Amino acid sequence: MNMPAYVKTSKSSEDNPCVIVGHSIDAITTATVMVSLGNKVSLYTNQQELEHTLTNYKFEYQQQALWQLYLNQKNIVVQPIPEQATEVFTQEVASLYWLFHSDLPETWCQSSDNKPAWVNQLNESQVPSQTPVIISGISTLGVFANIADYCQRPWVYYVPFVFLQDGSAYLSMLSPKLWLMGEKTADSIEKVAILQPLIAQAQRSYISDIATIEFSRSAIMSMLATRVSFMNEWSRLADHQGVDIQEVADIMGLDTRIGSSYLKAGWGFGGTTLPAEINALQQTLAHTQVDHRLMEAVDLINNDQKELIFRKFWQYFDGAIENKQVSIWGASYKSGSGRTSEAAIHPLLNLLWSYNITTQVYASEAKSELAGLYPDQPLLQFIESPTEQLADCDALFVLSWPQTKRLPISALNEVVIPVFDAQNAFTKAQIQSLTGDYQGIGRSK
Amino acid sequence: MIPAHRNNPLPTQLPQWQQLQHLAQKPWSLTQLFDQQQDRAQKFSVQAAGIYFDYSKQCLDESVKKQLIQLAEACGLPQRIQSLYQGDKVNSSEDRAALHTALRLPKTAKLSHQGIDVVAEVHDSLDKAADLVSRIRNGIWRGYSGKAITDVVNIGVGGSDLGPVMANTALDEWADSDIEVHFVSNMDGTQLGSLLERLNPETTLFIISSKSFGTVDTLSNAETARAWLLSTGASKTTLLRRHFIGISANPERVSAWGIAPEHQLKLWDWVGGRFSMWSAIGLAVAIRIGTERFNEMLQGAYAMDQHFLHADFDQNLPVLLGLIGVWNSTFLDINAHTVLPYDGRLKYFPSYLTQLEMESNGKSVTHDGQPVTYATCPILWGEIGSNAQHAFYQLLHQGTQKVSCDFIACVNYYQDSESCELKRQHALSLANCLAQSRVLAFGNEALAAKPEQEVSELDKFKRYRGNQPSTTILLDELSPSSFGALIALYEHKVFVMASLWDINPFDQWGVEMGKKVADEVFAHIHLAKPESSAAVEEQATFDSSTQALLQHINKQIEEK
Repeated sequence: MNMPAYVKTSKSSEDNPCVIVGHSIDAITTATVMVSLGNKVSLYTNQQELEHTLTNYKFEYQQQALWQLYLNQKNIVVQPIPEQATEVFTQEVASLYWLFHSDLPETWCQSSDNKPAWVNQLNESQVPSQTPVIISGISTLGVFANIADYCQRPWVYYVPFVFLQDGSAYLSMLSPKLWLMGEKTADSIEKVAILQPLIAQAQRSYISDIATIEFSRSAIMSMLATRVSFMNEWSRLADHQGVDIQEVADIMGLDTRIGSSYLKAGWGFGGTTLPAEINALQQTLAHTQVDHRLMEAVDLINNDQKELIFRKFWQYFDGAIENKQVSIWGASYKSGSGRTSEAAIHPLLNLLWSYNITTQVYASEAKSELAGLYPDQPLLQFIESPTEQLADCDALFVLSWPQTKRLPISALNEVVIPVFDAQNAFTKAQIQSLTGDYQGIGRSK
Repeated sequence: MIPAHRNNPLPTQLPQWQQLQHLAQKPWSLTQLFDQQQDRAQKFSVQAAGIYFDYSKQCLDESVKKQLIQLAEACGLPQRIQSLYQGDKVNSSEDRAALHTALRLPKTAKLSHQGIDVVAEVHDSLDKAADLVSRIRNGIWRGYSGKAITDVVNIGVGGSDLGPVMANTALDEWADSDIEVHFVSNMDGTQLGSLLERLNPETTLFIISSKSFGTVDTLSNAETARAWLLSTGASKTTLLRRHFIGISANPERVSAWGIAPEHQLKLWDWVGGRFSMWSAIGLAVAIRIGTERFNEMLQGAYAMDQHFLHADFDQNLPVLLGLIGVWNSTFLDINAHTVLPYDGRLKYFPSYLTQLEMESNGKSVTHDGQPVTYATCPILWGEIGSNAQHAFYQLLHQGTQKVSCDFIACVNYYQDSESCELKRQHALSLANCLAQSRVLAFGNEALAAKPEQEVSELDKFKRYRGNQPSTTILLDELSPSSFGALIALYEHKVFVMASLWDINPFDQWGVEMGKKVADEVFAHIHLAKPESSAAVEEQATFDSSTQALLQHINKQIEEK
């Protein structure tokens, strides 16, 4: 296990912990990283939600180990989130407040004057005006700039978690690839010295006003989503033309004007970040007169893409799919992650079950989440090995296969069942080596 | 089983009938009736099942009402209602029951017909329909290419079309599915042709509704739809399995046509087509609004059924509506009736009623086959009231025909809307509804008199004679439930009228002969330029008019 990268030698912050409010993976990662930077953390959280997050992110091995260590060392003190923010803003003197917007309870956000209740309570509190307040989260454009304006204090910041990567949450925050930060008061970043190590360690960083950073966050995420949907739309044309979209993506990536990231056709994008961003953007645009056909199309293509592999399966069997048995490799929205939020596994499973198809799922990381979501589904079975009962199956779906793990081609060739690869996990050579039929996204045998 | 009413005397022989004939000779004046009875509105109005029913603007008084109710009793209406509900063969000419009321019975009810548990049969069919609805609405039902269904085309005619079309329009605000529902009925292919141009065969599902599954209008459209799907090149088996649902009382024919048994929904010979929208015939409606709302519609109808079954006749909405209809048509010689909903959602209600009332009661022989000597069903038509004001109200106000009217409006509308303008429009519509019934009833006297004005020549053209009778039906609000109650109200009205006229409202022999003659004529129309047309024409034995028309048509076809 890697050790924390930074250990603060100064003891000055011991009596002034960072107060973090939230329960999401962003909040937990922040708490862990802040301790690694030599701070003490007081985490106000919904205990039940926190447990839920920790259970669902068991695959974040480093993060989970450090979390436990810091809890034992009492460097992180977990406290139940109070009904009213007043209690948080009066209980102690904090070196900073870091609030995770989507984790805040309703009572904190309700108000009669359009201002979140917690802002009013902060304004009425005795928290020194020089104490920095950081807000993180995804919402409709302008929300965080407005909140910062409502706060009657100068040192308010907004940090979008564009750097966080599932499977390596801790390291991706400790050494962020891109650190964006919005500040209410221009050129005040030195007021949050506590974050300087992160900024210094970032491969790239940019600081601007909060509205610009919010807008940039949304634009970055929307561009990534657009690239994915673009490739997915083109994958259908590739199917039609008999061209391998994966090879086309590799060629496109050679063009430095384009670059190679987010060009992989597959079942679309899932997780919590990109769908939440697109949703927030749609909400923002819905209240404007701004035409937004491109982003609507991105969303439509993505939703449709999640069931495209089912349609290929359907067409393969000419609709006669009732009562079959299939194997599914992977369930998470991204290989290496244990999360299935907005992943193709859900529409696929529901469609298969509606035709009384038995589904045996191989998904070590996502198993607990799936089992929790579908506790009473008799057609859902979990298998411990990808090739288990493969001979009994009529087809294989591949949704999320780890890049580093070798595909069991020879085992597949023993059973000769059609492969429906929604991840385009097979290489061209592997496809050719299959004795059975293969259909991917924008490519086939 | 011989229905009890077979032994009843002819209605004209009843003293109540003769008494009503005598009362009808009175010079009925609505103005005088209202002048004479200050509380007339209270005396001649009833409230039940969420409906306020005002018949004070009908040309009748307490003595007429009393005689009408006594006539209904003398005609055996209470027994006939019992017979209807318990499944006796009230459809005497076809020797069948007419158990549309069974279609809305709750699961817990008990009803057996010919040894069959009717309630279980009905609910099995409804459950199967609900399952299909759920699969279609949830995107589980897939077309041949695996895509979810986006469009449903209901192919049917008459009762398989008018009811679902009306309900779909009336309840559109409860539609919570992105699936578009279309209706095709025309034999000539106009509707289907233009629809197929814009639909995607991959995502289109057809519902073929025909009680007999032999209706040429429906089958010709179904065959065109099937050919359209086959032109995609997909396998016939898959297309038939994934793109058709059949609703019929004749499963053998449906299977022979190619629809899979699991995609067939059952009808029964004891439900008439025009009374069938509560059954699987309403599938298209349920797809649009969901099974829960559809069931609310059934519950509303059931509430009206219970009211009809149990309420005293002088408080019984369907009985009163039916008796008023008989009084106007048979005794006051008013041979035209118009239905005027002041609510755009009820746009197709008058069209629906034209079939329900005129196909049911457009009869001229009694149950025993004796010619009737009195007027039965009036000519019925209608339109959205505010539109009709700019169309045929001129005739109602100043024409020479006596016309009875039903005004229908919903008191509450746009309650949840933030638009003051829409609320104002609704109030304006209500005001027009009340104003028109007032002017029709009282003519020029509807407006406050201005004694100082002299009658000019022009005023003669502005004279409104009034005295056109009308009933006003106010729904508290339009909902699936109140809509169901409204339709059931009119269904039972039809039965009440038929009971007094001693005619069978459940057969429709008058539409049969035309179909047979059409088959004969069809053989003489050239679909393409025939080589032996002369030989065919020689065999024709039509009247000279039909012969000439055929010649003209065939000549035009050949020249094209």
